[in-house]
Amino acid sequence: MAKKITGYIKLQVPAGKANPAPPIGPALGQHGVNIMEFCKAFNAKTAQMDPDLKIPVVITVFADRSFTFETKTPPAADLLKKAAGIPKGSGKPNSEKVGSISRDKIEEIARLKMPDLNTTDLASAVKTIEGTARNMGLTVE
Amino acid sequence: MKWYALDVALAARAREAVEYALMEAGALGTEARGEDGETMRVSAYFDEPPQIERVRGALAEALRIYGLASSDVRETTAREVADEDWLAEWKKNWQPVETERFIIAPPWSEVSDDGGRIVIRVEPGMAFGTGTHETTRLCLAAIEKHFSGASFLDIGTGTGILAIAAARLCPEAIVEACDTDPVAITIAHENARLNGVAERVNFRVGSAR
Repeated sequence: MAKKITGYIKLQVPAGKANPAPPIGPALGQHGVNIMEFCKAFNAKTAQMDPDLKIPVVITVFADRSFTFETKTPPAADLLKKAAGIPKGSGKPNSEKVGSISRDKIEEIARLKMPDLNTTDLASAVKTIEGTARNMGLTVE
Repeated sequence: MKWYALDVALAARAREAVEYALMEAGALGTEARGEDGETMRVSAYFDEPPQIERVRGALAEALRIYGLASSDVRETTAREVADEDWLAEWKKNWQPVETERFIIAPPWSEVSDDGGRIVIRVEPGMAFGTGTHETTRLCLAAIEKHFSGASFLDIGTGTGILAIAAARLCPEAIVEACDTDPVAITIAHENARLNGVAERVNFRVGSAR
């Protein structure tokens, strides 16, 4: 029989850097989850990722206080910055471009983000990511 | 230590933008709550008082990048978060873990050494290693099976559980343990004392290098 779920905890934490401080400590603590066990498992799963990436994670807590977790995709803006090699987006994207990104890269990010973009249509996902890239002051070429 | 939180009420569609903005503004991490389809809350945590102007700027920029309206962020409130023992709730339900040669138990447990096994008392504090995780249990099993003395190096010792197990199992062994987290080393040392092996395990802060 499936274990009874008592709650979902949705956090965003830098890859490989989970520790018992907030937000993890108070969020997991109130559910009686073994915080250090989560930190170790999360850090092991994200150890190979760029530590600048922020990883959304959904933790499912069961009645016996055991848990499972699923990592989601990093924010599109972070993925775009990393792909374009820029520290931040432009404050004036129409007049001040900060870099460029290829269509292939846009499509790669769109494919990665699709599960979290509420669409199964790649063209629609590409359009969303392309819009975000332009709004950051990136030229899509 | 004191922590600081910013609670942001927002339209659910703006979640990624708001989380991105708060992390850009220096948050350690965020927690999303109370999603009811239309609206939700995101709480961001900081280790110093957040700079409100920086947060406002980051939110405005993120909403623009994601093509959202400024009205998608409804309200932002700041609060302080007291440092607590967030493990307290979990500790209440922590049961001893038994392996072939060891019983790992919290200090307050009444478990005894009646079957000839070695009882190791572990106060976890904010460090990893209570015997409940499979990796720790497997390491304990490996110590039981393969360790017969000589020297033992525990890298990333956490609570000190494995170093203590080795020291208890083989009283003549030379046991060294390290961890990059100074809090873990303090906890590990206290646990070694609790188990009567404080003089036999050399704990130090640092990596294996």
